[in-house]
Amino acid sequence: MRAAVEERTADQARSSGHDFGRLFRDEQDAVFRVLYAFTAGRRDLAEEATAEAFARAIAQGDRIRDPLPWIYRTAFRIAQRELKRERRPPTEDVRARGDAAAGLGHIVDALRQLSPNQRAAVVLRYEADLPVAEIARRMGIGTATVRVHLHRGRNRLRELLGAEEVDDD
Amino acid sequence: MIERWQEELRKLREVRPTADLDARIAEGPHADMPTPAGRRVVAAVTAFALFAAAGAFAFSVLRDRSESDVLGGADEPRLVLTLVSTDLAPRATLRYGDQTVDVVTEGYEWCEVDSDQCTSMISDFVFYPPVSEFIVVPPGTPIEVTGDGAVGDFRVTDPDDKRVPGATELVVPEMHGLFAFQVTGEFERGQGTFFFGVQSLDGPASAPDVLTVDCSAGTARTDTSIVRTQADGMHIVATGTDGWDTLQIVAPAGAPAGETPRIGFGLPADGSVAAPVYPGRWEIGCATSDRPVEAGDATVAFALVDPDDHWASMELTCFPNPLAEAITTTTTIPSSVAHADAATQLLSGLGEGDRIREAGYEGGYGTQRGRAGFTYVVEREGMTVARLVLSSLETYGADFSACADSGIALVTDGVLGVPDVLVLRCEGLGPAVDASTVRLQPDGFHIEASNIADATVVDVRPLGSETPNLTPFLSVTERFVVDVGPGTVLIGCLVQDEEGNLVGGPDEFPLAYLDVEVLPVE
Repeated sequence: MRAAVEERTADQARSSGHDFGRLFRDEQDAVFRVLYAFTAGRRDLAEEATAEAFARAIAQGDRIRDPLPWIYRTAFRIAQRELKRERRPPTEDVRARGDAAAGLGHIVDALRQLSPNQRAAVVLRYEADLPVAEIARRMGIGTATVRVHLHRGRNRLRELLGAEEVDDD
Repeated sequence: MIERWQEELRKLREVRPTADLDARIAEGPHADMPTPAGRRVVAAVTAFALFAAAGAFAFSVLRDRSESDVLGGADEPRLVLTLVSTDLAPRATLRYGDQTVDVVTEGYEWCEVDSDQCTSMISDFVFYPPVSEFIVVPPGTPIEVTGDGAVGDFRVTDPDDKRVPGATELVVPEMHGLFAFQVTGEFERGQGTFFFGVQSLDGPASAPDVLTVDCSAGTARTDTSIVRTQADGMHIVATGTDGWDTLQIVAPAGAPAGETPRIGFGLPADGSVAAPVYPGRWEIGCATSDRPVEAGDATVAFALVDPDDHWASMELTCFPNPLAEAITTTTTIPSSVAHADAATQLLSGLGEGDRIREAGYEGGYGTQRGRAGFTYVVEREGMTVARLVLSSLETYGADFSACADSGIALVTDGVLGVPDVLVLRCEGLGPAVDASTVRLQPDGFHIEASNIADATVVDVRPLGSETPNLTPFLSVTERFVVDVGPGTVLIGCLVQDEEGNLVGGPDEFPLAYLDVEVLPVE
C-alpha cells in the first residue's frame, strides 16, 4: 500500500516541487509520536490526525510553502477538534493496554496531567530536540507561548515522574 | 546525566503507528468536509478523488482572478462552457474573461471507441461549489458552449437546490443572486453531468454589504463571494458559533510574506461585527483562541469592495520608493485645536483637487487610524500621496511622510519644536513615540511611558550596548529619568518570563525596539 502513497505523491511532486513521498517516509513516525503525546496516548486519534494531515498536504500540493510545519499544525488542529468533540478526558483505549505493557504506562499517565499544548511542546523539545523557534512554527503559536508551555509542562513532569538525575544512555 | 522525567519521555521514541497509515493517506482527505444545503447524494460509486478536484477548482478560481475579474470586468461579457472528450472521461471547463476553471463532474457514462464496453461513474457526496467559489458575472450573461460535446439538458437552481423559475435558456438569470448550474453534456462516446456556480451582480455597487459566516459545519461557509464596505467597516454576521471563539481574516494563501496581516475579533453577543478590514481579497475562518486560522486551511475567500469610497488608505501609493520627507516631531499647535484643523495647518503644497481626509473608515475606529493617534491622508486622484499622524498631549505631535513627487510638505514655520520629554506608548504592536528627536535635560533623559499592552519593563540603552537598562511598569504610566548621553538610543517594551528574566534584547526582538535621537542639553 505504500506504493499507493508513492504513486499519489509522485504526481504531486512533479507539479509542486514538494517530495511528499520522502516527507512521509522520513517524518510520519515523528509526527505520529508527537500526536500520540498531544492526545495523551490516544493511539487511534493520533493515527487518524497524522494520516489526515498528510492526506490534506498532498491534496494541497504546492499551495503549501513549507509542508512539515503545516502538517504538524493541521494534525494538531484535527486532533484537538476531536478531543473537544468528545468532551471527555483521555481514557485508556483497548490498544493503549499494549502501550502500557511496553513500559509507556507511566509517561502516558503523566502526560494526561498536562494540557495538550504542554504535551506537544515538551515532546517536541525534549524528545525531538527541536529549538523553541521551530516548535513555535510547528505548533502555530509564538515563541513566548512555547516557553510558557515548556516551563509549566516541565515542572509538572518533574512533580509527577521525578527530577533525580539518571544516566543518559 | 538527565532527569528521571526526561528518561521516561524518551520511551516515546519506541512508539510507532500500528495502523496502515499509507492506505489511509492514499484515500485522500476525509474529515470535516462541508455539508451544504445543496448537497446531492447519489447512490453508486464513491469518488473521493472529486474532493481534491473540487479543491483545485476553488483555488484556481480565487487565486488567479484579479479584482476587476472578481467584479465582472471581463472584456467579453459571456461565459464559455467547454465540453471535451478525453480518453478516460468527459471533462468540462468554464471561462470568463481570462479566468478558466475546471467544472465539478457529478458523473458520466463513457464507452470505448468501436466497442460495447462502457464505464459509468456517479459520485457520492458531490457538492455544489461553495458560494465563495462562484464566478461573479453580470445578470443575463449568456453561456456559450464549445468543444466536442453538446448540452443535452440543464437545470438552474439556487444554492438550496430550488429550481429557478423561468430558466429555460442557458443564460445567467436576469436578477441578482447565487445560481448553481447542473449541465448534462452529450458526446460521441457517452455523456457527463457537471456543476458550476455563478454569482450574478451588476457591479460592486450591487454587492451585499454584509457577509454572513456560518461556522456550524466545522469550517466557515459564506453567503457571497463579494461584500461591500459600510461607513464603519466591513459588516459580518456570524452564525453557528458554538465551540468557536473568534473569526479571523487573513491575506490569501500565496500572498507575499510581510503582506499577510491577520485580523481577529471575538464573536459578539449579537453575532454581528464591523471589522476594520481594508478593501481587497481576503480569507475568513472560524477559530479558537489557541488555534489561529491559516490561509487556505478551512477558510473561505471573499473580495471586499469599496464603491462608496468609505475607506481611505494610509499606505502611500509610492511605497517603497523614496519619500520626499519622513519626519517625526512635535508642534506648537495646542491640542485644543480640532484634529482636522491642525492637519490643515500642518500640510502645505496641496494641488487642485487634492483632498485631506481621515485615513481608514470614516465612521470607524481603532487600528485603521494608526497606532499613535489620528491619521490624515492626502488623496490625489484616489491615491494616497501624503500621510500625517497626529498625537496629542499639550501640543500636537506630528509623524509626516509624503511621496517625493507630490510637492506636499510639513509646515515648519513657527509650529515645530524639539521636546525634552519623550512620550512613549507600549502598545500591542510594539513601542510608539511622539517624537523621533528628543533633547536631554540637565539631569538626564526624561521619559513618560504608558503601558497599554502587557509590557512589564522598558529597556533604554545606547545603540550598540548589550546591557539592558530596565525600568519596571508599576503602574499604567511611569515617569522616569535615564542616565544616557547624546546619540542614538534604543527603547524597548518587553515582557519578562515567569521567573522575572528578560529572554532577549534588540537582536532577538527587533520589533520590540525603536530608536530615538537624543540631543545634548540646550
